[in-house]
Amino acid sequence: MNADSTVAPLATPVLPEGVPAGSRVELLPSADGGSHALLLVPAGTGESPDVVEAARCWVAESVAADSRGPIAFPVLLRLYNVELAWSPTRSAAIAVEERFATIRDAVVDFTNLEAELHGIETGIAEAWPNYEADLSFAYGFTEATLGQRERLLGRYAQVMSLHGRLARLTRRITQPAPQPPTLAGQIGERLRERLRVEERDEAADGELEVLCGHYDACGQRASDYTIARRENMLSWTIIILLVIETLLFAADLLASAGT
Amino acid sequence: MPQHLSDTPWDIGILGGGPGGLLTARMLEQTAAVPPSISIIEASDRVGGKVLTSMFNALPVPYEAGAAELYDYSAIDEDPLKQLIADLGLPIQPLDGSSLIHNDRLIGNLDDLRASLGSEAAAALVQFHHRGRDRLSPREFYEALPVPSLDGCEGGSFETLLASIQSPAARRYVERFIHSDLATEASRTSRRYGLENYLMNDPAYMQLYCVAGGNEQLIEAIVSRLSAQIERQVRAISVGRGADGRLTVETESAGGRSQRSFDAVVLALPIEPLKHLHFQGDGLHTAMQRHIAHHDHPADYLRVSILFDKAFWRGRWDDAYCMLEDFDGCCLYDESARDPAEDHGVLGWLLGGEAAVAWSQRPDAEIVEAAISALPSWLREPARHHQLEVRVHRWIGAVSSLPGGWQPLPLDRRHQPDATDHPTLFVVGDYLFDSTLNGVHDSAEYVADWLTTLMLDRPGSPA
Repeated sequence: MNADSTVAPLATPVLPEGVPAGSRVELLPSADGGSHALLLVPAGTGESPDVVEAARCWVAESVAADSRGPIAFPVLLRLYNVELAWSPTRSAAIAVEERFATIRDAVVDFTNLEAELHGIETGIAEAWPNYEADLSFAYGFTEATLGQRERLLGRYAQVMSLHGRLARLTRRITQPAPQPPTLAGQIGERLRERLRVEERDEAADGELEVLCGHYDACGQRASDYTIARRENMLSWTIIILLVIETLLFAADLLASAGT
Repeated sequence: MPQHLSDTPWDIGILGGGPGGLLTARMLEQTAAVPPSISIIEASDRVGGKVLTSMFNALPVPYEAGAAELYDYSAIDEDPLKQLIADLGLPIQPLDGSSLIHNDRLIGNLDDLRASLGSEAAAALVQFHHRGRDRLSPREFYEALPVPSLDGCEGGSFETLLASIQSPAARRYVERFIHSDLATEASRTSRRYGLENYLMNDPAYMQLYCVAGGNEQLIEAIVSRLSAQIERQVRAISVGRGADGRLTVETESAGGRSQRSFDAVVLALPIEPLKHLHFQGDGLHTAMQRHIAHHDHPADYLRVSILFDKAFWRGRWDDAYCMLEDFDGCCLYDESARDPAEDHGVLGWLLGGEAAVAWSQRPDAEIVEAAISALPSWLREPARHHQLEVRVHRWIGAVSSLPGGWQPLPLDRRHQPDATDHPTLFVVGDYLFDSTLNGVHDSAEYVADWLTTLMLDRPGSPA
């Protein structure tokens, strides 16, 4: 289950002071069920540092609760004729009005991609304590621990689901930007670079390999134990039947000897 | 074969202390079973040729006066030059940029192009790009695989390919965008070379990088590891064959003229100095004239570098380079982007082709004024105000333009002009490939491998 699926939709934030007339905030639905607020500031001829700072501060207000390891928010991008400040819940862009639609699409696309990656990372982080607790099951089972199978199956399904989500995401992450370059492609590419998305994707993949490998081994050991137990029972059943048959045969022999 | 190992090692003369000569020497020293005795004869007082990182006088700030960038092919396959740089422990820095400044505005992507030049131009550019990719794949580009539609004798010039772009604005955009890379006009280069220079802006084909702190560090790192004897300010005058069958090189220096004998000679010289070398004997003379005539297609560069007290453009333009429309299209480098610790700003203009030739005949002050005037208006005044020192470097005829219809020779004939009578005389040069450092590396590797094989066959000096 996506760890971020409980994010509540945000109320539309108010416009910051210091941004020019024509600026607006749009609430964009995000894939995790929450919202992403995008401040769009129409560009004039050369932005004053005050406008840029006001937009940056507005994004920075939202970032206290966000964490992506060493990455500091907001991430600031200065592209050709576009300035962008991005955080997981808020972004601000200064550009000519004609680019707003492209910027909006690019921000939504990247925000959803990053949220999905972050959700997977959170899921992995939650799976590690279970992994530590379940380490001994990768070696073998006893009669007393066999009852844990259902719980392990649930954890196996959880990490396999994370791996599947990551595999689908990797295809989007590694897709080359369109050529000749487009503004949306450049925004996505630069944000992926700054948020170290490729490295995080690789790291998550490595972690999931370990987790999946572990629960795979647990499943194998559980299966081995169950089969061994069945074989054991079967062997004893055969032995008992053979003993009974032998006793009956002996009794039959004694009876016939007596007559 | 232990008796061979005690034989006299081969005596190899390398004429030219540029990247070609130095790389050949390094590869020979690394790969030969019996290290040869190598003499590198350099006419000037420095080695490195077109790889030249200079310093300003006003402040010890470096700038590239020669080769500005190296090509990174590692996304496609092996990149031996990048590997060499890594082996030498040199740090590299990627160079990013994809914009052209048109009417004071940065065109950095299709959206900007559509806004500045119109939807028709944007659509035409996309079509040209996609057709270009269909014509020449990254693998064909990397391997230099033959592509009949681009290479044929009837292939024509790159201008014929540009003519297929329906929109004049898009056509002019492409021309301006690659003009300084070509170092010549579209009408004077082949369809393939022109298309390669356009497609190399697509990361699927290659990316650019430089050696952080200056490309000349590569030269210094190679020289510091060479055992070869480097003779500076010694000019080769003639090459021939002596009575003992060895190759002879007549040289001239402050000490007068002298004649030296070698088991093998590598001519690692650009075409222009090669033309002034005398080749003794009709056969060799004819073979070398044929070689020179086949490869003599000069293309030109002019470099203007200006030191500023600060990088005043940051915040409005943050790439490592962009293209300007003036001079029929020239490249503007933010040289200071190559060293993040640098407080000062350095801009470098790279002019190519006819503009480079025409402006090279003007005084430096006029060239510098034209270079500053080529900047967008929002950079012009600050450029005049913050300027500390200017440098101009003229590289006329320094590279090859690879004209339309020109057919590259097979690799063996390219590197051995007179295989029958002078089988140990080799040629190395960037002009034998694509006028790049990567090209000269390939050339040096080919000749070094060949010589190593010869030395394996005859471990002792053939004399």
